[in-house]
Amino acid sequence: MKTKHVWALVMPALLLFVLIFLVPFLLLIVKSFQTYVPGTLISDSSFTWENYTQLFSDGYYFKIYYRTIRIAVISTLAVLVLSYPLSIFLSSMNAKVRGVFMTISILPMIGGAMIQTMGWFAMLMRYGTINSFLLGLHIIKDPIQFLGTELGVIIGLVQSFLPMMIYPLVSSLLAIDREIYDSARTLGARPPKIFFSVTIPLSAPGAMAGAILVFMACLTSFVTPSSLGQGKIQVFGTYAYQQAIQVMNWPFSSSYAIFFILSMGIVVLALNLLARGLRRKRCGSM
Amino acid sequence: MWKHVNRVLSWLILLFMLAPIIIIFLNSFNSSRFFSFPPDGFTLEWYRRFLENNEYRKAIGISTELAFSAVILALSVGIPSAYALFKWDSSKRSILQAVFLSPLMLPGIVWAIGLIQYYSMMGLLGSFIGLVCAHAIIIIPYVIRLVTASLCYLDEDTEHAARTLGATPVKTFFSVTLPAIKPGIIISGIFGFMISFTDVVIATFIAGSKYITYPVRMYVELRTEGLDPLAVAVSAAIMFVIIIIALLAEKSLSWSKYL
Amino acid sequence: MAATPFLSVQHVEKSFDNTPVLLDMNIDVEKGEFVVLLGPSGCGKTTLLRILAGLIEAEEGRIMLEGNDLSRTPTHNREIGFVFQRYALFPHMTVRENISYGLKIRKRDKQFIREKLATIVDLLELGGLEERKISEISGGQQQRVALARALVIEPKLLLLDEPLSNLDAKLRASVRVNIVEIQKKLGITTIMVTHDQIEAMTMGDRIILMNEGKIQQSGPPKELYANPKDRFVSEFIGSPKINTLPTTFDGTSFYLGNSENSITISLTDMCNWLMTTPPKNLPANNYLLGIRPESMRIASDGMFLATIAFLEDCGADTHLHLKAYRSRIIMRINSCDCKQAVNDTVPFTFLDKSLYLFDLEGNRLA
Repeated sequence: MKTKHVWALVMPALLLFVLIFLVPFLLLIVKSFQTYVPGTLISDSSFTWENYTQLFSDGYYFKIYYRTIRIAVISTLAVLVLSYPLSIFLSSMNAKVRGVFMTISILPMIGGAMIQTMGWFAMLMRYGTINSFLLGLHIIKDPIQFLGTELGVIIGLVQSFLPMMIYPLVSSLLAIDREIYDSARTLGARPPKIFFSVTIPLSAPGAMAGAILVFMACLTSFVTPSSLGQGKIQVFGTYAYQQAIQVMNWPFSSSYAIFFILSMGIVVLALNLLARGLRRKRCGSM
Repeated sequence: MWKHVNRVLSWLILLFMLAPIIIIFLNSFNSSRFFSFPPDGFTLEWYRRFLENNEYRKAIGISTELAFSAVILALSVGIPSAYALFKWDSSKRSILQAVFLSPLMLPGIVWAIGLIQYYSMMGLLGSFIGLVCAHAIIIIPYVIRLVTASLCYLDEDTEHAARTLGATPVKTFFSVTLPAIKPGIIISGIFGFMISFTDVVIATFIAGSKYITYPVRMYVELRTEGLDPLAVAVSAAIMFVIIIIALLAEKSLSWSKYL
Repeated sequence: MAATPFLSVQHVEKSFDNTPVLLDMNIDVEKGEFVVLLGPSGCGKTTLLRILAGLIEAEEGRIMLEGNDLSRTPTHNREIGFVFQRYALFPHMTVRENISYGLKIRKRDKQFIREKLATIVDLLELGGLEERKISEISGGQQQRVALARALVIEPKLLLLDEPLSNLDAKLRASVRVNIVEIQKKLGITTIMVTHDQIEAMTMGDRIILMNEGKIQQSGPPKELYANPKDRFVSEFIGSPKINTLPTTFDGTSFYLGNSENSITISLTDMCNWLMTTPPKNLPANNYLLGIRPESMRIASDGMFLATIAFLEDCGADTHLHLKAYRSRIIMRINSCDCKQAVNDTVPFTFLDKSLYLFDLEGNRLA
């Protein structure tokens, strides 16, 4: 296709992207160097580093930062552990049945964060499903506090983002030639051995891709920590919301968001390089 | 033996994944005003109230209108881009593709903080068109990805065949290419609709007070008043529709292969 | 050149990413001729076919059809029929819709389309399949639908890109005959691309053998077989492949083999076996002797001796794999004449006027 035709066809989308996606990011950078005038939405446009120095001067932000990462890491690991058995089960099905089950597995994502949160709210309440169940069986004497704790938030995050891991994982499991398992079996490997020596190494790129997606989603999640944390679990997303929507301190929330995205970007970039390394190593050995 | 262990584990994990949805369904029929388990009795009261409730009906109406408009916008700019980029033999292609896919990787909440300031500058804060454009941006990556995927399945020689049989490039696109990428278009349309329809983050940041979508309404209610059986019934009804659509999409287009 | 040729490819050149694919192509095709573009993969034959169809633009040169320059004509106005290697049938249409696509594009009336369809369906024996989906018919049927779809628009030129490569071996032989019969019946000028020399030999009025973007030799199939221009042509045409034996000429005699196991052939004997007389004053040097498997025979008075390494019984023929003079040679004989077993030593000789002599660059000297 000729270049001028390509540009003509791409232009509307590109225009929309520049106007609605790129410009807000640029504005974010500009605003982060301006000063908040309390009670107004128009900030003082003189240049200042103050929003950034504030980030480093108060340990509060580092606590949020640390908590956000901790929750994201734990949730991602839990997702990784839980997604393997299910993905192996899914990849062993015939195509038609698998399609139905894959569709069911993506429901937590397409159903929307709100419905999931509401369901968890019902289950994790003081006298919600889980506590009633445990109390009824006399396993516990007093209800467990889930809402407003990190545990509750992590449970919600893991459930919401499992599909993000399952999809890439199943497709990389399906890409493994069935005969590799057969040959491992004929060579005398037992199922656990096959899992660790064949399944995991060959599906690692897919798992890594999924893990990065889940990790990112956890870091920037907002609805789940806000609703299940009940304002007691302050993470990046909830604090950003508080600053931008409730306090309306836009210059500070801008610098806060930029600092967060940059530092997270480095982590994710490192993970990406690691993932690429994994892939290259595999190709190199073949 | 290992197979059976794995199967039991898998069912438990599936149960965990679907637990919130199942609970929402069960409790939507619960006669108790408050949340209780096991349910106190069966009632359709909450569904009846939902049908009478103007607030929720209006919010769902806004959500539907918004999702529909965003999908139309995303498809109408996304399909030509996907097609042009696929046919473009240039190294710039991957750069542009990365640009269009970037909303998948860059955190929505950071963008939203920029967007709220940008919209307030432009006077678009709380406007319908502002919401539509923002949602179109998060749908376009899926349109690009799915249409490109279905273009990969297309044998380019069928397009060449149409050309040798006398079809102009435009006629070829409509008679051969478009039917071939139809699954990608429909699936990205459905998926995009669901994303926009259920979005909370972008909508809470930029919605303002005039166009409150139903998930935003629920979010605000859950945060301020806790669980309301009416909201549960609304959620269950919407979830039911979503499940039906998803299963139909799987049955007729095997959409899970594309996602 | 007396009359204008029907189709004329003039000085066509093409390269991809600075790698030349076609170098100064010049081909004339007569009306009604069946021309086969033959060559190994990557020789540029498919590129040339696609340039003829306008699917690829040539960098240099022009394509003349009936005296008109086609170079600026877009594909859809070229009036050509193209059968693609994987058929490229429209998967969302029925057989009928596929075949009538070109006529509908041309806005022919329904009655006309119906009649045309009936004729072509009859010609290609597709009766009863009209309402089937493409996925519901066999590979052979798909191939015929592709041919029908290309022919129904009555193109001036029919282009076939490896039309048989996706058929199984049994079907291929009969389809080969079918295509030629239809081509002759309609008298349609046809250019076919293939890498299979048997297809080229059996189907084409003329073969254009290409290699690395150039025409190596062009002519009727028999001529390419009997009178190859060089080593490449002799090796490409003929099955099993021609044997090439290194030989040394010292000014008076030829030697086969090495010092431990060699045989001397006098120049007179060699001239008798070679197809044409070698150039006078042939310099002393190393050469290659081209021996077709069918240019040898077992003869009790033969001056050459070989050990049988392997017997390949192909039914009517048997291929003897011989070890002789440090080389492996394949000899084709009638299976009835084969009384030998593996490890037997057999005497053999060459047929008169049947060997080729190449220099080390592959140019034919005799």
